[in-house]
Amino acid sequence: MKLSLSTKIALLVFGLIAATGGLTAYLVYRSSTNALQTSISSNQAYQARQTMDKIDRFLYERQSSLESVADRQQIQNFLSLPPTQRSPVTATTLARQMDEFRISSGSWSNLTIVDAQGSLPLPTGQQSLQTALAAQPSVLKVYAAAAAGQGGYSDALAVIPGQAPVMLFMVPVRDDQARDQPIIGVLVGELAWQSTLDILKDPNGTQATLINDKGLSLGENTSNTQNEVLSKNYGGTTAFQTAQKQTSGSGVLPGLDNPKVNFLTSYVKESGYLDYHGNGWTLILETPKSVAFAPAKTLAKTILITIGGVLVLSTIAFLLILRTLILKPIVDLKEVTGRLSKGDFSLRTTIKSGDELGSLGQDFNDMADKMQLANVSLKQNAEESFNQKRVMETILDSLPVGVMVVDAPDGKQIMMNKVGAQITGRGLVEGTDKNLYAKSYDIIKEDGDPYPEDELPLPTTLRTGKAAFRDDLIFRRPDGTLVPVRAMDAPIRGSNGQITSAVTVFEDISKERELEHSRDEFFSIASHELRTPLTAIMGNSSLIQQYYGDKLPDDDAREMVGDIHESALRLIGIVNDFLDTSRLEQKHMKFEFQPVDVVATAETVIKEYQVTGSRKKIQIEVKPPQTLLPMVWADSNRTKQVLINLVGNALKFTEQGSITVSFAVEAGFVKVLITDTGRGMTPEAQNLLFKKFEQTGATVLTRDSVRGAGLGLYISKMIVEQMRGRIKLETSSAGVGTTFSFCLPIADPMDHPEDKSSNTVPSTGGS
Amino acid sequence: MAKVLIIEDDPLMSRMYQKIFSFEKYEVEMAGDGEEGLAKAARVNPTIILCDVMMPKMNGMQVLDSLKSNPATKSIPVIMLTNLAGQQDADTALSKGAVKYIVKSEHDPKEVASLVKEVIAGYTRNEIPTPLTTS
Repeated sequence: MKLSLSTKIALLVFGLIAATGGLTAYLVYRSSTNALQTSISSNQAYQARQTMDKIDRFLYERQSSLESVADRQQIQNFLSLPPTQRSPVTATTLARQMDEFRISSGSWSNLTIVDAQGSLPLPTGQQSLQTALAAQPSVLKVYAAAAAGQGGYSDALAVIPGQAPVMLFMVPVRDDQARDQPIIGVLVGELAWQSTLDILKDPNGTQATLINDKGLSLGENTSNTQNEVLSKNYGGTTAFQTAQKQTSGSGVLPGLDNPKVNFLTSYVKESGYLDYHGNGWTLILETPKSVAFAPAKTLAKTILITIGGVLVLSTIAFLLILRTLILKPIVDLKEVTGRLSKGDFSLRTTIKSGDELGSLGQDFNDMADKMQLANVSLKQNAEESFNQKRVMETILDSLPVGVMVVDAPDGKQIMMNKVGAQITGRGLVEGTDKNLYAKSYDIIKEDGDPYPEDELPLPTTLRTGKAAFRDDLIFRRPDGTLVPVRAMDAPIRGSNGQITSAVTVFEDISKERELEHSRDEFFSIASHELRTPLTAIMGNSSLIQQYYGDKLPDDDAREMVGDIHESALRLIGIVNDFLDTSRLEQKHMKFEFQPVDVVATAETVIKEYQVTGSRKKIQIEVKPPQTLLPMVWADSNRTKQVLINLVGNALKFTEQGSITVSFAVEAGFVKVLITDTGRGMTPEAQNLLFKKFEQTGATVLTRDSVRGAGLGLYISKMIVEQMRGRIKLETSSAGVGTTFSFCLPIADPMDHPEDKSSNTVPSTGGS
Repeated sequence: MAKVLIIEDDPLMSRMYQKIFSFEKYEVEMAGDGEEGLAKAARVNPTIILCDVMMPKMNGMQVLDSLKSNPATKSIPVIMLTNLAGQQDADTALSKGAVKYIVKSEHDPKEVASLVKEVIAGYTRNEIPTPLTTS
């Protein structure tokens, strides 16, 4: 339900006042009922006592008046005679006199005499009383009691069928003439019941009930009270039973708080006093709560009505105030905001009040001003960002690489540039699926197997949040063509560091692959096509030397043939160096690791140098180690190549003296040292060692003619390092000599159990 | 007398090897390509075959396979000659039944001849080629 603001406020205020009023009324009602209850109860108890006293006095007076009649001589005389001697005339006179007494006292409805024999001697017309007496066994009891001289007895209730119960008074008649004043009869009076009820009458609406000890009602001032007191539920029992249980003679009955008890109830129990033998009578006074608390109710009602009136009036007044002071400005504001929301920034509020609303209106106008300004700049911004987007798109589309952005949570493909679409052959694929990328593009490995999804760079980045790189992806386009691709992926993070998306930059590397392939091919061809003619030159020149040397005309010719041979050898060496450099740099050189005996390898190399010979007279020797050296883990041919390089170098730079190959074991490595007595190197020259095309301290024009391309140490360094060893210049001093060394890791029999047997056995290797 | 069959497409190479083996008193048979080589091998029953690897029509490896699959030629020792310096090729050749893999540029012709001589010695003790003068 949609309620206006004013209705809401009015309801709120109304509710608050109503709640307060209701609470007040209730509290007033509660406290006033409590006060009323206290005062009414105590009043009522007092009243009960008073009433009971009145009843007692009344009954005592009736008793006394009967006693005065019993003292009359005529009655004594009459009864002292035996029944046969009693004169009917006297009896009639007595009957008449007693009737007169009865009428004059106004209290007695019947009055008669019972003689000692239990018969009624007076000829009264009061047959009902006689019948009642005769019918009640209690009459005899009453008589016996009276005869026993116990005086008045007020509780002999004769119940005549079909009539209300009657209260009989009995007073003994004694023979005052006789010596011991024997009881000669009983004077019986039946009380006029109405006179008792007059006593019980109460003008204040209090109901009174008089009950004897047997629970029989002796009188009440309202017709229905007897029911309430004797039979109606009084908190689980009757009021009479509750009063019977009370030990004290008078008071207020408990159970007031019981909602089922409708009365404030007081009682008085009477056990009789003096000659008057009233026995166990209980007087119960009740005031209905509805009557008792009526004033409280009226008070509460008045409060409620008053509050209600105030409520209505104040709500109306409040609403009127609300409308003028608060709602009107707010409605005004609403009007303006409505216009604002529709894009009309021109309207302003006109609230002039100096209160918070006035300043709110002012603030609102300021805001509207700013919005108006912002709107203008927003439009400019939108144009700017559109332009920026265009710039961005143009840049991305003109990139030579594919670019694609993928949303992190759902794999949605957000953007792909033109090159990306060309490479994939598909472009963006619609959908939200975490694995959309892997599903969209057919990516395979070089061997044709599908690329494992969790190894693809984009899913890896999305999963780990780390940049990823792969250069062995092959995209199979929908048309079946294959594109080798290199991809780099990076996460894009939001301001909270969470990965929002990932970008993949991918490149068609088929050109690169072709280039690589053609380079390999080039080297292969160079290897074959360069070496074949060189082999022919070298082979034929050596054939001439070997088979026609002596037929050549002179030494010059022989020297020329020798130089041709030498040149071919050097050229082959250079070609081989280039090829080796290329392979080592590309890490394409294959190494066949096995346990290698470096001493034996060195000996083989030295032997070859000794065989091929050096025209210089230099002593080349291997200095055998003192103890058996462990095998190294290396490629035998490559180890040999390094040794050839280093020994060859030493030979080149040594004019006289010796070249020595020695060995040492050093923390897991075997070190091979090549020492010469050559010209040595300056410190500057030493810095250039192991560099590509290095020629110690030489410019192109001052190159050392014996050094070739200068790749030897560079190749040796790469070979040794790719065999996990180290190579270095140990010492070098000009004029004294140079020592190079390289070391290779010792073959661990634990790592290569299959080689265990041959591990320490010297072997000539595969050389 | 030992008979050498040289299967080599490059005349520069074939002439050079023809010379050294002639000088060394071998009977030399020449073939310019693989097919011819196979035909000659079956016909002339050489003591040893030198076979180039890179050749048109049929490469050396295919020739080797054919030689080794033909009962008539399979017992003839084959030495592969090449200028491709790849260890893998050498291993392949040896696994296919070649007795040696020689990189041409690494050996001058006389060395090749002595290698051939060693191989023949290992195979047929009684057929060591000797200079014509002493035979």
